[in-house]
Amino acid sequence: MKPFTFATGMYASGDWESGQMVAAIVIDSLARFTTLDLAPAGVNVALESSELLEFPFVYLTGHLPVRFTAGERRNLSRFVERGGFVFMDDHNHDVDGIFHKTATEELTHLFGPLRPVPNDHALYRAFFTFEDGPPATSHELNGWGDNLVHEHLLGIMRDGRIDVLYSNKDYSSEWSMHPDSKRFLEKDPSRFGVNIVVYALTR
Amino acid sequence: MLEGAAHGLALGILAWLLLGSLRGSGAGPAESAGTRSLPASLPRWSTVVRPDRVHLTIDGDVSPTALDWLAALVRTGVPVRWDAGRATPVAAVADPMTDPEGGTRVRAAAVAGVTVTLADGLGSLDSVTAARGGATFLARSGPAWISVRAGPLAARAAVADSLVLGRILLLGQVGWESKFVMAALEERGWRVEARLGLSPRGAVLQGAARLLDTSGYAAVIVLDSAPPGSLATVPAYLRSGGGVILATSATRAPALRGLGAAQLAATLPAREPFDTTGPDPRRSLGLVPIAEVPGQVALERRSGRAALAARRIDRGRLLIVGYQDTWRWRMAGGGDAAQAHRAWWADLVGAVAYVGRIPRPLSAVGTDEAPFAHLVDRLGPPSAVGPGAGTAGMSDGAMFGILAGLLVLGWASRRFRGAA
Repeated sequence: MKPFTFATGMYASGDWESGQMVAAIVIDSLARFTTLDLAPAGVNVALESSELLEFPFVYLTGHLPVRFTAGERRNLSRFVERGGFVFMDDHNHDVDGIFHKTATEELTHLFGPLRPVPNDHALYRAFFTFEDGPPATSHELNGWGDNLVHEHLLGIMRDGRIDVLYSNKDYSSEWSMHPDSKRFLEKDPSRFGVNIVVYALTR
Repeated sequence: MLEGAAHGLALGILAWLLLGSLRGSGAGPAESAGTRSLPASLPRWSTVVRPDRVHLTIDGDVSPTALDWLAALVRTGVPVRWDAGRATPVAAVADPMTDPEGGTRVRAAAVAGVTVTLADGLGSLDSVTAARGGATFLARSGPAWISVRAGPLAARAAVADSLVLGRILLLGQVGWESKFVMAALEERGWRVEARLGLSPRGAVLQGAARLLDTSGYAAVIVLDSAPPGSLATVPAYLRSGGGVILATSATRAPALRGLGAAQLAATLPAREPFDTTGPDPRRSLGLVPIAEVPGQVALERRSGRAALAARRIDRGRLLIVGYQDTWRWRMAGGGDAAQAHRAWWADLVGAVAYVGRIPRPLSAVGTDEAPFAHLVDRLGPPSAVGPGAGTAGMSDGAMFGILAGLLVLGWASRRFRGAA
């Protein structure tokens, strides 16, 4: 059986590679807390490539404007239609930022408008329980970016199931550390990453 | 000598015809009819003129009422013979499909090479040329009744039962295979409950825990040898009539070893480039071949090794799936791979599932699932010859011709030898 592989999506515009530590830290948390059959390292896969369909979980991030190519749009649409899960995180943590504006435009163009994910959604109980919805990041609490603590994540949902999860919380910065560094923290900051992956694997 | 023989034979024929006319006096005429004229003929034969004998040529459907009427005529002493004409044997049966999307599977028995046409009350639906095993139709609409026509005769069948479908229980580990098997079956309309291992002390549970028996579950799918909870109740569920689908990795579970299912050591890796188009969409999937054991039927093979196998165990049905990572078919397959993957898993479940049956009210339209067989049953086997033959032996015209020939022969013989 093929193990779960954390895939980071490569797109032609912007800086898709800005969250290169995220795969390692999420894989580390999955290995610590679950018995999932895991690939030890993540992969980078082009959104335009048919190889994308071999990895039903894909993570997208960046700071810069996002403009998908026609091939990327076509492939991403097919990916979601067949049951793939997209997790897209704004590395700017800024609702007025260029990544947020362009990325949400692209997603809306492909899948329809993004809607708030209710804070009692099954996503927040998929493994760990997050009573108040999405965990806040230190960037939000320190007032960086747009100086807002975002109450909800956004999503493209079909029959209550999240197909595309979009975050303004900048988990990409929050999880940008070597896995060994987590031992100095009171709580593993990437626990919510476990929830996202487990949700994608079970719903 | 020749004149004497011709003369004697002519006298014999005259005597035979005279006796025949005397014996036949007082009896009715010999009647023949086609099935289309039968509704008009039957009342006449019963109320106006009682025929001496009846010959029926099958050139269309014989209604159950007409067949009963003909059988009654036979019991009153009127010989009824029939010939099949262009009619060939045909029979049909309609079964509800074990599928939440509904539908009817129509199996038709017909002579190989004959065109078989499926129709319902609104008209023709499909037609095929019957193979050696007849023909099978799948009707998604679930009509109240269907007819299967092969030549002049049509078999008419109705679905006798409604099905009660239980839940599916999925046991395994959290992963893409369990996710996409569950998605395929839920999209098809099955209610799926799941127990999926996720951590040493945690599991993903979908649906309430309930007793594993045929009153609640139509089938159990086991994807792994060590799912959360116990597999000990699965063999008893299977033997009591339940349906079980095992991935080859599940056959290693100690609780399931008694079922006799096993995998071979050698694994055939997935073929790259991954391609699910063409007549064998599963040819690119990785495969763990299934060990052949007595009583087991290999439903699919690759390179001579069993890829999908089935067997009956007491009242239950067991299916073993050797294919690995079937989710890749749905995600990365070409064309309508997602629908094909969904339909394949639904077919697997439908093949083993335990279903409750509730009899339906009989259709207002009379059914006759085997019209040719019913004709044989009520009227005896068909005659190989046409109407009028067999009872009188020869027609009167033929008799007259022979008689005239014999007289001419006697006269010519006398002329040739110069006698008066």
